[in-house]
Amino acid sequence: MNRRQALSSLLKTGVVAAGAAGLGSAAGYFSARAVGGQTTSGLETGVRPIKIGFQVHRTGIGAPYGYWYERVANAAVNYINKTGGIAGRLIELIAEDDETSPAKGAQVVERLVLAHNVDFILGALFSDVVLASGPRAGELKRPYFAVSEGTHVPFGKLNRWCFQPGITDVPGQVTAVAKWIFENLGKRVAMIYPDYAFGHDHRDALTKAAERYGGRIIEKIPIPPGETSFTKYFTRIPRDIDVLYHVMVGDVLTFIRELGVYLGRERPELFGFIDSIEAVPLSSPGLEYLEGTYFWEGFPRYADGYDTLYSRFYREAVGVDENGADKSDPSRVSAFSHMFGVWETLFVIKEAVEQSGYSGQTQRDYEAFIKTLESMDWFNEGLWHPQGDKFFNGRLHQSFGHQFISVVRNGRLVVVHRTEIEDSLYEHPNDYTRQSLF
Amino acid sequence: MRVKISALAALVAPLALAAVYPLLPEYQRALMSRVLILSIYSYGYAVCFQMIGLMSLGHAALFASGMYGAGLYAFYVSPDPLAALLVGVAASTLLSILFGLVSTRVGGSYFMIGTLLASQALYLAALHFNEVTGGEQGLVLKKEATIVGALGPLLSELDARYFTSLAALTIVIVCVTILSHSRLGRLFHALRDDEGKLEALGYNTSALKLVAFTISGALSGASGALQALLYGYIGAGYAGILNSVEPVLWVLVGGPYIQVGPLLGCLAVNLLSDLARGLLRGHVLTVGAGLVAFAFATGRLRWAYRLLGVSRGRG
Repeated sequence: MNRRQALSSLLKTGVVAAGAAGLGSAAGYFSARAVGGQTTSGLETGVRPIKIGFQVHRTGIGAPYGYWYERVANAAVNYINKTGGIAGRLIELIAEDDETSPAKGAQVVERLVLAHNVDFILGALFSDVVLASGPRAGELKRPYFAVSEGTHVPFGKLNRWCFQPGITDVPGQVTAVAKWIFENLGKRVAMIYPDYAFGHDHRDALTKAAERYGGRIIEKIPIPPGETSFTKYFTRIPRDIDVLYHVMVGDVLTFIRELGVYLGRERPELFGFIDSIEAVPLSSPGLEYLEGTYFWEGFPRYADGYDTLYSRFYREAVGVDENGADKSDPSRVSAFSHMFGVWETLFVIKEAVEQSGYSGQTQRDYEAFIKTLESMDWFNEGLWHPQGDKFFNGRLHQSFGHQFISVVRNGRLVVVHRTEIEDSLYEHPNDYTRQSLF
Repeated sequence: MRVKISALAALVAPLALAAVYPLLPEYQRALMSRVLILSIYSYGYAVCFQMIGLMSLGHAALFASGMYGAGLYAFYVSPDPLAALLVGVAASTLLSILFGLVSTRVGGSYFMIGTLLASQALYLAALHFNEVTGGEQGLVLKKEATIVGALGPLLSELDARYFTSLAALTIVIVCVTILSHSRLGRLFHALRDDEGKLEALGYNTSALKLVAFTISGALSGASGALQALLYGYIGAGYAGILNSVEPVLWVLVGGPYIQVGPLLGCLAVNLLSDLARGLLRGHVLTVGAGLVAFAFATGRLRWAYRLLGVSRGRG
């Protein structure tokens, strides 16, 4: 049996098992709700709750994401608490605003640990905040879970206390979609990306993937941060390319409008990362030009993109409609491709606590918790992991999962391909398990 | 008499900070360590703002140059915190001479605009050379490259941060107190009160301004360098405009005595904004509201200068 077969048979059994478990707990959830939130699922009363600190971008540049991250965190905690908590203990979520600032982020970690004495920290999205916070979490000996996509965790820039199990990272995402791009859209690619770490991760990963799949990166066009007009960079787009690959480069409405004016109808295929239009309605003026272009999605915004029992349940719990917008305000589009990471991370914490027997903040318990998490290989698809199953690399502390490729058709995103987990795997020498914990 | 009281206060302050430490809960210890580092920045800012009456909007660049000087040295050259600290201070001193040569030739709002533009230039440079600086995302220093790492065998992280920043702050307070009573300090005050008269007496006021600006920049840079070496993270966020505006509020709140004012103001603003975090969304709002309240309380347009006027003659 080769690895692919091994994976798929593992997956099948896992999915079935998780599905059965999921159905059971879903039924429990709804029946618990029906009797007014009282639960009989074995919660021990009088036991200290598990405190999870939540570093959230309530203000600052990350606020549109932060709003949704917080909403998902509350929904997940609500669900977990109604269905038995973590090892029979309730979760107490303590959210603190980090102002999307690295300085404040590190301070929030201190406050969560030293003032609130949390057991675990659910971390941030923005890389600078994660990078400034991770070392403090390691020093204070509290597991820190980033939901960021950055390479800081897998590439070993942080420490053994930092994990990213709930969301895939940029190199994983790019590696997976690059295969599809080179096979389906064409081999000759030019890329436009922001000239900072996030963009460099894209550049490096796509360059590597091009070597692997026989593509060619004809031109790399970095855009300096803070740029407000892009046309002058478009002159560098070669005429003879098949695909123009673009990632978040600034104000997306301006970018797309200027791109439309410059390229017109005779354009190469466009492939973008949803990050640039995350939480932006596709009906925004100027985005008509995106019709017929492709996007990476972490988790499809429109419900029919990945319609499973679990994804429907998750959508319902978070309060998001079929079009990926707030149920009570359809103009408020969610950060659907990222925020599921918060949901899944909370369940990873639950899994690792329950399997490791973690009970309190002792060296022994944390050691057991971290080693248990590091030894996990798979997160099966289910209510706990609605985006799909994930392979977890305990040396890198990073998850690898499925990615979605969608095309904009009639002003909505339609999924055309779901990548395999194997497509996103890459090698990296980092090994956190060799670091000492205390 | 007043001189003696203010000098005494300057000596008592560090002792009080050392004495209060064992009484503080853990989180407040960590918070205070951060505030003490910022207080050094506050003193640096006061040397320019309060002593010679020049309001700069570019000190974040001077703070950041110290941070980058120290951090990049520790990251790329050698994990030696002491050498890195010196490199950081040297970098900020050089940069403030450069900034000062240009901006101290003009006064008032031109000075503000000049320093603001210069600091934005540095901020954008930090972003532009992100392959080296880490840009917005920043860089994490190895533990052995930080002061906390070097003191690791002796002190816990919490203690190391608090007492290192307190020691540095004490040196700064003593230096600023001596400066304010020295001949040079009196010249600075004279410059603030009446530049024309001083010029008529034959003093080179541009050179005086440059000296004050450089001292101010070196202290701000020292604060940035300590920030980098105590917390092990450097990033372009510290070079942003907000970091230039905050010390204005600290110094204003701190009141007229330069020996203790910058410390008191920095403590008051930061501790209050930490307390108010549950009430107000984001401390940016707290800082803004504080500045606006001050502007109203002390008379709309000349608010800053009025408060400075209070300090006249009280060196």
